[in-house]
Amino acid sequence: MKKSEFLLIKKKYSDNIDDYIEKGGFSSLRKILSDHISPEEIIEEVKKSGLRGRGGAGFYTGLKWSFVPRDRSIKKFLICNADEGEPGTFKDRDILLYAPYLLIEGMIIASYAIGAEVSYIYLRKEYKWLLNRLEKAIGEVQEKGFLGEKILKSDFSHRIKIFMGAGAYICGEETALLESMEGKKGFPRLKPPYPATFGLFGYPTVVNNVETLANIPIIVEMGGENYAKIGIPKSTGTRLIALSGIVKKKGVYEVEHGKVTLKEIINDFGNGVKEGYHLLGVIPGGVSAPPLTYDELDISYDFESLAEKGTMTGSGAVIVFGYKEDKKGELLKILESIVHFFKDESCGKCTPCREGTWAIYGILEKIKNKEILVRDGVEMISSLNSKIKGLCACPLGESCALVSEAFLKKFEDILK
Amino acid sequence: MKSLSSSDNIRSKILEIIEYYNGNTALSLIPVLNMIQDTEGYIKKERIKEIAEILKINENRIYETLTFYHFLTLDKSEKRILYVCRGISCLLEGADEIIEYLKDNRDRLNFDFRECECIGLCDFAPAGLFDFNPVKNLDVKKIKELNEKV
Repeated sequence: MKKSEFLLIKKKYSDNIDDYIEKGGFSSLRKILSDHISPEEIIEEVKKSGLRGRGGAGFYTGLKWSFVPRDRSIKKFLICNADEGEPGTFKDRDILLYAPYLLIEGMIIASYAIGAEVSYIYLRKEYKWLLNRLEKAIGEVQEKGFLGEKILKSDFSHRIKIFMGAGAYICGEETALLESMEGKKGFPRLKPPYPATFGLFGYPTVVNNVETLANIPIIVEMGGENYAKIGIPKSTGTRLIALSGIVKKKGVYEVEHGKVTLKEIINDFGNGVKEGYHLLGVIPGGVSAPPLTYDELDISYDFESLAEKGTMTGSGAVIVFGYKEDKKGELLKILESIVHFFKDESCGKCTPCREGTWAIYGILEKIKNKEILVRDGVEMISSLNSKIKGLCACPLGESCALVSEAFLKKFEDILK
Repeated sequence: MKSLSSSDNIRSKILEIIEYYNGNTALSLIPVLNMIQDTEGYIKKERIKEIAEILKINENRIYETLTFYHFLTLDKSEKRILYVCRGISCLLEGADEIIEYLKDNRDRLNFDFRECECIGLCDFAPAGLFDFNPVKNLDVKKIKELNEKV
């Protein structure tokens, strides 16, 4: 295993614009504009890179961009999704803090590729303390001539604006995010149409996660094919992991896809589990990702390997959990906290999710009060999920059911 | 020279926001609500009327939007607010004990506290936000210190 914290993105960490330029920053943008590289060619490179969205769903970025109509007369938007709200996730925060220029360069290139004159950063209100920092960074980039009218004397003009949310997990879902920007409740839209054809105020819009966009200047610099050599097929490049829970050393680490196991993440990056704690398992991609037990941690961290185990890399949040001393009961508290989160954050648009998440919470209460067996709870949740799954505008309710069912099943011995 | 009254001040800030978003009033709604919340601590009825008039958005629509979001409130909080995260990573570090302590000592606090979902400070768990600024590695000692400072 390569224990390097400085693979791709972290190598470009710099919160000082001059230092960033010295590290080769904005050379990708300069190359595109001076060599007159066409938007189509950039989309092609991103496709070749195999880059998949780092927000949670893992959709191919180049493909997403290619769905945007090429007609230049139609207004288009790029939105940087900085609304990471999946419990356990804080990796985009570190990009916003330590690599704002890399993100901005990525946004400018992405906007050029899809033909957007204005882009927005949807910043979660919880990150209000980063607002001034970001505004300053945008101003500095503008002063250096990489943003604004006719960038580097080319025909391309671009502006970046910040839009701050007001506290709602669901707004991280791209269509709920769009509704929120339109001044409405964050209700996910029924799809299709997808944002690439019908997005913000009906205009074609691409919504990309912070980390996804931070990869773009690197892809342009290396070339898509070279980028695709990093990691493994279908999981190219690196991943920022937000490691938290009962490990000794929490933080944001960058790992190469497919080259590191979850066990190694805990031991080599996290310095192992804290004294006095019993390791039970790991939530590998934020609370929407079903957990893996202690015995399942020899698994490579990449999209495919985790999907085979019925879970996902999701938002890159690796939460290591267990219990202190002999307090096994803590485990139910953890699950309760997760379900509490889903029932609080269900936006209320779709009945199966709105009612279902509360019902699941009720089932947990019954287990806690020993009114029903864990096994009965599993059955009840599973039957509930057949009435949630695929019947809602977004996967929130379904995730709640899947995760709680997996928790109860996998840890039945401890919970009963 | 007469100084701007707070109402004039809010009005000019609203207009600034609309200008920032190129005159798009729908896009300006949540930023306007955020600004008022952060300036006045809540969104009072008169303000909703005022926003409706300036942004030309129906009052009911504004209510609908603002009641959806956690950090927009119709009730005035007399004190500054500490949001304490009850997310899973904070829970694993004892957030429930912190919340219990705060509940038990509510009367003695010079600030108000509310529970909230993950705030992206899991590497500094248990964590909170005070006036939307990070408070890392919360413990009773830190809460007491904060209480004296406020």
